[in-house]
Amino acid sequence: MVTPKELAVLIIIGMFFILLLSTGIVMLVRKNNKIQDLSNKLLKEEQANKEIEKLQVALETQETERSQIARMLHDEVGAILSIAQKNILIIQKQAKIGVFEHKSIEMTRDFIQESINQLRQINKGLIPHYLLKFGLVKALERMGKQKTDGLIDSYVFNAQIAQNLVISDQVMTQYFYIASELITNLLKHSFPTSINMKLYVEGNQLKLQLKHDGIALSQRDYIALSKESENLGLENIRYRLSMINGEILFNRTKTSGIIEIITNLNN
Amino acid sequence: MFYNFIVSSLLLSLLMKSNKIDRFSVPIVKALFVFHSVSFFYSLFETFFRINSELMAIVYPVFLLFILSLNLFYTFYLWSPRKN
Repeated sequence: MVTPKELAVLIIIGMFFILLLSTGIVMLVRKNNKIQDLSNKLLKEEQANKEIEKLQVALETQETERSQIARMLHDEVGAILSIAQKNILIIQKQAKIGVFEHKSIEMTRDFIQESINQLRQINKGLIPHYLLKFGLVKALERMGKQKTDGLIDSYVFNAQIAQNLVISDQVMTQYFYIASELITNLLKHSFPTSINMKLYVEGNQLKLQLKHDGIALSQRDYIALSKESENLGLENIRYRLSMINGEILFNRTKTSGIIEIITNLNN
Repeated sequence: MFYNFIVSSLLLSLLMKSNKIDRFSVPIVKALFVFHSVSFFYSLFETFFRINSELMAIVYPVFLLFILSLNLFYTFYLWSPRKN
């Protein structure tokens, strides 16, 4: 038979055992949380590395494209234009002594025409093939998906324009590149988790609206940035907007930022 | 008994997600979990103690000491940031 004293000692030992057990559980939970924190950090680092890799690929592609364009301009257009310039010098010299050779004038004209053709071809190569083949709606949807894939939680594209609406190549190209630049800038500086892109027609105006939940700019911020910074991206956007007589509006609300590109379809 | 069991289970689940609670509250939750676990064990045999005064005389002081140490910890923990 167990005496009350022995029973008491047993219960006290049991209480101490539970105390040790619960302390052990607390320490285990602490370790588990630390491991979770570490794995989260590793995941974030991996994501950051992936982002850097993507940026590197984009930069390399841009560099390759630039060198390709420079080579084409130098080898094809530059060469023909310098021959045309030499011909004009010869014509000038001959004109001084009163000789006018119709043939060399024709040749020069042909050279200039050839260089114009070459420039057109280069320009055609610069316009995204997908944009020309499938139109602005599909191209915007695809470009946004490609750029935001894996970087933000949701990208939604919504187009509310008639299927038979004719948009000029110029407007299509500029809208495409402006939207591309804006999305790149958003991903780089605003850190959004969702982007909603909407293309629609209001009256006679074609509007492209980008709504995001990241750090937003107001119109005043945009004007100040445009004045101060030597940002090539903003410069490009301004230049492209001037090509289509368009305007850009920045609006900041409590929960989101809205960017709108507007142009007149008659332009 | 059930109260102690439920509270210690809830506190354990809270500890598992301690990154969602304020850093300052984590040690309080830990101490409460340890206290309720021991209280659970104590409450299992409470019916025996109450009818046996000899047993009560030995076990209860130990439990009281435990409650006292927990309260001392709280006092110190809540007082130290205020002092700073």
